[in-house]
Amino acid sequence: MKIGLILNRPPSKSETFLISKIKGLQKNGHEIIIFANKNCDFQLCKVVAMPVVNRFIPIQIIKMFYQYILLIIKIPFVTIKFLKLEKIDGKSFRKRWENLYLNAKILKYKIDWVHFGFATTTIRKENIAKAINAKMSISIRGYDIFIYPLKNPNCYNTLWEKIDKVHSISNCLLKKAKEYGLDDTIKQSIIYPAVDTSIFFRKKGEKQLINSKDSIELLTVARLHWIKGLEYVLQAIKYLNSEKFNYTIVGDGIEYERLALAIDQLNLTNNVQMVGYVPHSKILSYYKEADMYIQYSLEEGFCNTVLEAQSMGILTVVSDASGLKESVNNHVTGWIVPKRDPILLSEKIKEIVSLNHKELDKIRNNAVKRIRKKFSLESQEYQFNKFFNEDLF
Amino acid sequence: MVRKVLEKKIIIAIYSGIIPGSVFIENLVRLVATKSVKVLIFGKGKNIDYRNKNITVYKTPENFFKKSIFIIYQLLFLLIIRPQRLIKLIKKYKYIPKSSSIIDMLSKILPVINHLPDIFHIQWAKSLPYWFFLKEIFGVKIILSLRGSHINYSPIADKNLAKKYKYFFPNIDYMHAVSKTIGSKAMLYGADQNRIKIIFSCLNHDLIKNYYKSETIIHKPYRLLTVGRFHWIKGYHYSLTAIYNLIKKNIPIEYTIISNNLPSEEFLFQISDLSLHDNVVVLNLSSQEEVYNKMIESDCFLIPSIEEGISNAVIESMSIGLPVISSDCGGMREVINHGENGFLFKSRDVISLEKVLLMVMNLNNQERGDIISSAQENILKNYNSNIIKNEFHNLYNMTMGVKN
Repeated sequence: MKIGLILNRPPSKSETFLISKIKGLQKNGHEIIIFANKNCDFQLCKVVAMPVVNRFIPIQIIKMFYQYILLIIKIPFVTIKFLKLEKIDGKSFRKRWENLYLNAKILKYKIDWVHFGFATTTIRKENIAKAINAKMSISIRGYDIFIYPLKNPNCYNTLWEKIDKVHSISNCLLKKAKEYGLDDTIKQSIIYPAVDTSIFFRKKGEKQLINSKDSIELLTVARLHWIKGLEYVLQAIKYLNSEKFNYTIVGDGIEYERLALAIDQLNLTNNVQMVGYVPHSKILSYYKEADMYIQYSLEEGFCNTVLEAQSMGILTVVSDASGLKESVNNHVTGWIVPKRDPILLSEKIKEIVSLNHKELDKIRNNAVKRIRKKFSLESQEYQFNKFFNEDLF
Repeated sequence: MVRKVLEKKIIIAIYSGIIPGSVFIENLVRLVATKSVKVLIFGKGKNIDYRNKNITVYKTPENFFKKSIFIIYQLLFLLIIRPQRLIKLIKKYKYIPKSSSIIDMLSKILPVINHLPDIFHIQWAKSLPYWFFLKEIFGVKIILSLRGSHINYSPIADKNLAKKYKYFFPNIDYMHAVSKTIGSKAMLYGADQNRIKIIFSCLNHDLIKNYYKSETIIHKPYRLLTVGRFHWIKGYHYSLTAIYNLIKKNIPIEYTIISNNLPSEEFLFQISDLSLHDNVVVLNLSSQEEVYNKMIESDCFLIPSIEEGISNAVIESMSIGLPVISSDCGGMREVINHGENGFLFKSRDVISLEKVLLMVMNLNNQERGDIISSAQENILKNYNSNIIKNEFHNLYNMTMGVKN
């Protein structure tokens, strides 16, 4: 089966969810073609770059006419069908032809499924699948559902009318999508992210007694973005009021200044390190050093790093953000603390440190077992194969 | 000596890059332009009629074609009218700022070279390295105003910027700081304490004198007001959490935020996540008069910022007679004496904010009146435009007296 995967850009090596999804589908005999706004050196499958808009209008007009001529010669019926569908949706003449140009590359392909990696990538591409007689599916992710509609109300109204199937990475996302108009007549499937347990695993006897250590290493792997709640973690570190705790943040992002200021104002320069971007292949060393993993996000669709940390038997503390409640079983595989409350978070960290070795080891073992059982690559592969196979005509 | 300098009209370029600049900059321009001080404004933006013959605006076009014509005109002007400046510029070309676009660079610097001021008063520290050539090539005096992110946190996060500040700050003729706190930050980068002049923000008294909150009734729900753009530095994530907690305790609050930009994703998310749609109102008001009217209609003004120099809106609220609660960040401790002329809470501390909010809500008329009177007295005494005008004129005269 030929699956066209539409993304903003081909996945980087660190985007494990997408990489394992592509690998799994290929393993099951599917051909994957990625359509993305930017091309880059991506080895796993073919990547087709979408047309870009040139800022010089005369050049852009020439490019558009060139594409239109190619489309009319190569696929006249698909072109007409696409323009008709756009017209039915009430789009203006100009918008219809703009969209034809923007989607020209995909329209030329014969594909069984057009799968959008994010709901936001469907905007202005809602009619591609129907025009080429393919099925249309989407994966909904945290930003798509928790943030984008806040600034763009009703942005998915057209989408829900066109879609054949929805994949969600968690229950909470699906629930939230329903608040924005997704109804039960559309087929839905929850496929959790997966962890490569051959890389992220716990060596027996690797962990020491946390409460007897001179320095306790806390870790977060995340983009430096407000939604990750890192400012609250820094405040919690301040409330811990102990030189014993050392906090490392792995990741880069637009809010470096915000966090650098917080570290400076809270006098945490000796206790906190922001190490910036680290390639996924090298993240393992940070996990190995960590005694406790913290993901105190304001919202998450799910969270891969929380799975990776648990898979390595690291004591994991998360906020009660929707997706995180599905990533961790409170008091069984880790701990859940109400969000926006750095005092509660610091108290929870202190409480964990005071637990005895036996209690902590039980939590670690539970986490490792749960990850192996519920979030394995094999299970993800099987479910994605089923997702595309069972609904094809 | 000072008197002699005063006799000659000093030409000051107040540079922020954008026309109009922030409220502070616009107040400054209007305030200092007098018979003895001519103000030049350079930058991109709107045409503004200041109705003051001592203010001249040299606007740089934004359109590529117009910009090219503008550069040709400026180059011809330089060649024909000011050839000696062109020779200096060529001789010391290595000081000319580096830029990815020559067109942009020329359109920025040529009007300034053609209309060279005695003092180039830079409003944003990050542009200091760019403009320092004016001192190196033409001996123009440089004043830097220490304001906003450029001094408060950018050099903390950007080590290269900190390095540049350490190189340039000791060589600036004078610095202006709106608070002692912000002045002390410049000293971390080598600024000379004796070359930092603290001059507070000032009010547009002509405008604000017509606004006074005479009403003593406290509204239900309690009307809380913040004026500030949507940016993380403004600390809305803390104020919204505090309001959420109080509403949960059945304390009704209506929180209004006046901003000149659209709500950020973070703000919209917090409103949605905390279900505060019915309690928070966002307004985009076009005039200062409308802002003052909203201050009159409110019960309390709140500044939840993580960092501030001195908030102009706080001074305005205090002057109008609206009690102020502010975080104890930056220069705010220099304006507000907790419990005397306003209230402070611990920056980033939601519980501290909740406690102060409750305390202010429960003030009786006498207590509230005392706070308001004390605040107005403070503003009249320290933020009086005549005093501030004299302070700036003194700063310019002192700068003219600095030997290069």
